[in-house]
Amino acid sequence: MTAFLDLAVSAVLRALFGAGPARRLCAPGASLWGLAGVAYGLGALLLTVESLALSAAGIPWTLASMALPLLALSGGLFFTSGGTKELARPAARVPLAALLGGTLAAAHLAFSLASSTANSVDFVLFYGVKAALFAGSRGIPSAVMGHPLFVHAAPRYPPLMPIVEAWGVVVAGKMPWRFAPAVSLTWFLAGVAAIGSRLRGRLGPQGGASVAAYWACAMALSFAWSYSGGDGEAPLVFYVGGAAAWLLTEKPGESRLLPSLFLAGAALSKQEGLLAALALTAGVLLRDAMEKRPRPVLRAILPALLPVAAVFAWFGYEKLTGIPVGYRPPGPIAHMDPRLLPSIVPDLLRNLDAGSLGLSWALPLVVLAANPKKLVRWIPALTLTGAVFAALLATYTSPVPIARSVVIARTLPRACQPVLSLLILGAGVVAFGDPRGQAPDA
Amino acid sequence: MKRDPIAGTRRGAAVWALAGILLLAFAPRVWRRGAPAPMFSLPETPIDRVSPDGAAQWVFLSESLKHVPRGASYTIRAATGDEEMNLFMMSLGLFEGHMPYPNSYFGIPIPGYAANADFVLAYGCAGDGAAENVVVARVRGGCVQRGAGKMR
Repeated sequence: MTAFLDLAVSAVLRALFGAGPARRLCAPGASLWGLAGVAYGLGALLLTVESLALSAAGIPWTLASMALPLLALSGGLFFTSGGTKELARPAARVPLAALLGGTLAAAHLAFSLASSTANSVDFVLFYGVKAALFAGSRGIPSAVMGHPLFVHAAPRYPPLMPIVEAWGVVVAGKMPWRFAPAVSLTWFLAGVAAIGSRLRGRLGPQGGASVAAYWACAMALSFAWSYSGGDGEAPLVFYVGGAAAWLLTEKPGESRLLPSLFLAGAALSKQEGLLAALALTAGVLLRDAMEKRPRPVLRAILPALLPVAAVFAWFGYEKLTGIPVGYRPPGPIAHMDPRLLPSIVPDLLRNLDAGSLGLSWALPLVVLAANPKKLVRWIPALTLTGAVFAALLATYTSPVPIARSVVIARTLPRACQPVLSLLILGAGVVAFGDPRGQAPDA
Repeated sequence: MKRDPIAGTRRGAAVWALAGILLLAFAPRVWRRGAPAPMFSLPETPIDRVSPDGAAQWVFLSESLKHVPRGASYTIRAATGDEEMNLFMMSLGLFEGHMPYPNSYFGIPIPGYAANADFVLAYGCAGDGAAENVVVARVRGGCVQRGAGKMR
């Protein structure tokens, strides 16, 4: 029980860290739950940046050193007049079916995590190990991270999730190993709240809530099926999905700071987060150019720049503290063999199961196929899909150290989650959105 | 005439939400997979259902931890290099505050390194631990032995 309480307290504090920035950055019309979801993601991002700065400066991580600066910053932004916005009064109740879907999806994920059937083995090998180590060392121990007998723990990998989990350990006083993977549930709930609120505001209360409910059901099934509990998948899907929900439904000229920060969060969540961020931004640029929206290149700079800056900040930290710099280079892609493609197709299809025998893909693909004239609206989802699958195919047709089918089974169910998420959101925008993203806020 | 039956209408919204609920009919596939366990039992380790072998190793490590004082060094011996590596990787999280001396790394032996350890965690009570190593405790999955480290 204490472990659950600690988990809840650390999650609520993360949301409080981001509450001020969220209130500044959310457009008028955000609901309280939507604001809380956005705040959770921004809080985790700020916590990561702050933790890196503290560690670089040699200031020990404690509850006070980590929480007080962020609470002060967040409180200052929350209560100063400039950015405060009135929270929206609900224009209409969330449809019962959507509410039921979201609730059942959350219950499924919670039960799967609690029973350990959705947990990632990576949690006890890498993510949780680093979190326990960071918290115990009151910072990122560069001597351990740079040790040749620590390479198995992927020390160069983006640090957001280990830092967020380490924060939980700082709050709790020890690592609650059995329950810590449930942190993925908090990311999921934050995602449903943030994306649901945005979609309700921009696609209408009925359509927006229903798309969010479908997203919740499909992603809960996929998270559990792909053993994502406690690893970096949930934050990656949160940040990429959140950025997409904002960018796909934006009004012309609307600030892109919030989705750009989400993309920075994606880049700090997983190595492939940078690819996802840049592919999504490229798609938005293409959409804007095709729709003749004003200044498409100029407006693409921020969402492209922030994730790159986030990755370089991490590399800079590595350089400063003597950890090997940069990501481990991919395998010998120069030796990729396209002739292998036909033989891996069955494995590819089998591993697009997403916990639903692949049916989660059906509705978005049917909607998209039925609306070819609205293709331009879901181009961002398409570019991300293309980039992710191109990278995966390059990997799968290159020499691999173990059986190719095993590599695919271990990676594809997780790697395809941002794609599924974006296809659902893209289809939702096609089905319910105004052509130019100018639907009235609910 | 409606060209897109699931777009833009209340009915369309209901289709989306109900489709999501229908997807959840597949949820029991997740609950039933992996190591058999009573439906509503709490797991003993974070990976009980997803990796029974890993869970057994986890139990061994967490029980061994009770017999290894904080600050002491340890090494791990197991029947195979894979097991030894897996145990070493997991131990770094559980044994935070201790000094690890891996006996091997990705199956490659590290000669002389393990001899510095205060404690030997022998998974399955097997391995080629020195004959004079005293068994400190027998735990689920193996033994904790005294090593040749200075804490002896």
